[in-house]
Amino acid sequence: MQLKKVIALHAFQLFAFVFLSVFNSALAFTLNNTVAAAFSQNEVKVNVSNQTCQNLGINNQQLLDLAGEAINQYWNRAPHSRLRLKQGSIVSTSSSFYTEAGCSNTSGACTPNTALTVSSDILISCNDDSGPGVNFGAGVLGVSIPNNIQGKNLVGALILINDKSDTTFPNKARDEQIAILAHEIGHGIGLGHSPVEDSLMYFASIPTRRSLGWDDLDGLAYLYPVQQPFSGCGQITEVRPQGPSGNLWALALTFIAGALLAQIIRPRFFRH
Amino acid sequence: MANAETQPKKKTKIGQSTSFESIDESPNNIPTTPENEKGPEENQNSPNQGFFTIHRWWLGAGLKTDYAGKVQISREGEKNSWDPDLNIYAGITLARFWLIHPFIEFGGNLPGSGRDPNITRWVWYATFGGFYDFIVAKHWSLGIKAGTGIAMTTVSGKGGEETLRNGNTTESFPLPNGSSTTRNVIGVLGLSGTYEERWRANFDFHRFNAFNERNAAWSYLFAINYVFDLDRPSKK
Repeated sequence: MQLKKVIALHAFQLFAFVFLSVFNSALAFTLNNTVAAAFSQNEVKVNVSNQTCQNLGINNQQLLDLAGEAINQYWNRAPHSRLRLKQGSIVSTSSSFYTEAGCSNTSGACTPNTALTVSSDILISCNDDSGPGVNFGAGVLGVSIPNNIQGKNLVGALILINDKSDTTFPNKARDEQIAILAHEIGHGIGLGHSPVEDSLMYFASIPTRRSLGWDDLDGLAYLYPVQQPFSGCGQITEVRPQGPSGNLWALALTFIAGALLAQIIRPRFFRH
Repeated sequence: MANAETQPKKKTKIGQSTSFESIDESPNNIPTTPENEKGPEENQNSPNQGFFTIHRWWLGAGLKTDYAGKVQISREGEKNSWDPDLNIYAGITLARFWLIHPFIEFGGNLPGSGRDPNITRWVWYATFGGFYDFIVAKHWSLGIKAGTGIAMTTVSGKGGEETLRNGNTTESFPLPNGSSTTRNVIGVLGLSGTYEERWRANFDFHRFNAFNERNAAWSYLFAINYVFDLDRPSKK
């Protein structure tokens, strides 16, 4: 019998080793600022500037609707993120948001243009590069700048969508337009690019993008970790079916686990 | 003084694979030892017969797919219906409470560093609930379990920068420095088949955000366990 146990244990070890050797996957993501800034609140609105989009082929309300689909199809689906993006509204801004560059410098790390500081949440604006500075090189569809960072708190972020006459945004399929906005919103919440194509934060737009990749999810886990059951449950604004709240789960979980563990660690309960 | 050996026989036969109808906890079938010779009535007061007696424990290894069907894993749009990581875990069942054995399990994927060596990701969990099984054939029993628990994902990095394409040029993007851990309440469902009480194959589901359709997710695990007994006499 002892021999059988030894054999069984060795078989288990071999099994574990083989799988350890074969499956060793992990993922990559980057940030777009050096302090790993993130929104401190769980709910962040995505608003659209009232500056008229002239070349996108859609009006501001349609742009806002696309943004709403982007956040619900991508970022709000992450199971382990506390962040809940919410479709905001069309807000009044100065015309600078339509004309000026997001960065006041043209090379090196971006120095945010203070004229375009976003006071809170995320703001999307069309931009035609007609003012000072340049946002869009050839083929660039959008730029994002987290331009209001206080300490490690991301307070406001700006997304500028290429509305120049040669923009290729209107030529994209609707799903790809949604993915493009989702990518820029990803920058708006603090993420940088991913080196792998299967992630939304890959530098290039891919027509077959349908959902978040592992790098995106890991980035959310790093910047916006959910802390259930004690926090992160109360900010969800969707209507839920009737059921135990997060706090009830917490109480039940804590009580039962504590009772079990307290008894288990007492050696007198072991039979042998 | 009643001796356990003199009590009416249970239906389990010698040599038959046992289930929770078997000899494991019944005072009638506990082998005679100086302690249980006291008889069933006295045994009911024995701490060894308490609810929190550890019944069995096991080690397991298997393949776990996290957030099945929710994550894009290729440029072509393929999702992760089968995208496993190695998972290792351990668990215990306690003495039967009515028809079920309470169980506790701890497990996790191996911390990995793959596509980018600067990032490490570790998924682990602790669950508890009820486990019930019954004999379906000679040497075989089928089990089901249900419960709840906590699943955590720890993402960590060593800092630094990574140069990546950005528009038409390249740019240095900061890498995470330090670690961050998410914590989700999960529901657990599982099916298992056990061979001769030793080898168990199980298929477990972990449900995330059960009350929120938008960010709900499933993870599933195929695993093989080796089961150890604590309250069964060793075979000789």
